[in-house]
Amino acid sequence: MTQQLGIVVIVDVDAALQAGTLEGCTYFFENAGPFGSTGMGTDRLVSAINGTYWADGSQASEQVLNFVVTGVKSLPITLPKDYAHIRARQQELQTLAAARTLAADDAAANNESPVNFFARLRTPQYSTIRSPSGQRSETILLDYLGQPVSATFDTSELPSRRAEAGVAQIPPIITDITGEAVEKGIIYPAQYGSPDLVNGGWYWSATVATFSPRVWSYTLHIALYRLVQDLTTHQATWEPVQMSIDAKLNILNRPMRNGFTGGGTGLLPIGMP
Amino acid sequence: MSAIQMPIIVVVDVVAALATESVDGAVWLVDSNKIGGSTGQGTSRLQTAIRKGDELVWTVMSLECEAFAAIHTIDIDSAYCEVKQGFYPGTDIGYWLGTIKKDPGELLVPYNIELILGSRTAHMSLSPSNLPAITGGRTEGPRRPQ
Repeated sequence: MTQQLGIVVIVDVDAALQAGTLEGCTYFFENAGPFGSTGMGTDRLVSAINGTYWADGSQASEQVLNFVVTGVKSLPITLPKDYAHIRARQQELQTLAAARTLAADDAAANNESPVNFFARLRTPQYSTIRSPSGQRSETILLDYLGQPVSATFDTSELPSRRAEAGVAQIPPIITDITGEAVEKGIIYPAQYGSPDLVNGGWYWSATVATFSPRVWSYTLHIALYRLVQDLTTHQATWEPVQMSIDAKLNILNRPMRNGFTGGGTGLLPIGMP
Repeated sequence: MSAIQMPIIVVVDVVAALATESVDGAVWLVDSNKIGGSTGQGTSRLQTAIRKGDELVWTVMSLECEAFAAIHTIDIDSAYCEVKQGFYPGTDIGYWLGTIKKDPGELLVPYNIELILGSRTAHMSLSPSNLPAITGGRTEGPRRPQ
């Protein structure tokens, strides 16, 4: 059975953009810590990969690496991918309901003038995402609690000044995986479609050929997004900034083993009731 | 200096914690305030630099997407930080929101995170030597939304 390793990469986008590098601003985590991986929580991950041989000495099957990248100021990846649009639609429906109430005959009892109503009206702040390949898509600015960051009819305060501060950032994305381990045929990275809509339904994965025990390096190419705004039109755009960071695999000449039993990777033991 | 909203991600290796019956060594914290003076990023002993009026937003992230993890409570001195649970509207995905009531200055105010992991009924939390903390002295950072 192929073994799956999950590698989580959290990026402090503000710090990386300020420093101009991912080094010192990136935190790697993965789920093989108990099996000898090092550098957890740092930018120097070395993933331990047991699995050159089975316990009986025969060639082991490959290991699979699955990558998840997010930003520390991004919303949880467990939220629906279209969560911003869901929230914006809810806000628009509430606004329409309030407008209907105001227009109704009993609105007079509220003693609120339409001028006041429109002064309080809040609508979602839309933004454009420009992908590294130049394609454009749209999203809505939310804060860290999932509330739409509103643009009001009052433009005396430019929304950009607010937006760049408390807006949840769209997560960084992997754009490529290269380096020694790829060139030497040790890992075979590719982007796959997923029914899970994290990162638009795409994720990066790599199979590892475990026949060459030693430390191999690879490079993650990551696009961070910087929020910029046209001061005339107030149009907010997430502009990609490409950066890269290295990580390593330590392929060990040890048999694969079952993390639950400590024995071989066969059938799991069945618990007795 | 104006108050800010600051996310803190609690990363949990749920399987390792359940296998060893301890979250020590299986929990790491990262906040968004490295450039504002926080230290200990990527460890359980994160020291988040804050100022009075700041809001901290704790969320949890499991290393395996199949493994359930949630924060049951944040145990912190309420004289410094008042916490309450919230959920992202329309979902069952929760967060904990902490409002800084008092700037601790150079004092470290430790806190613990009680976690609900997998189907384990008893909550799990860090041992006293591995606690994160808040401290004063945030030097800069983005402003909170209006």
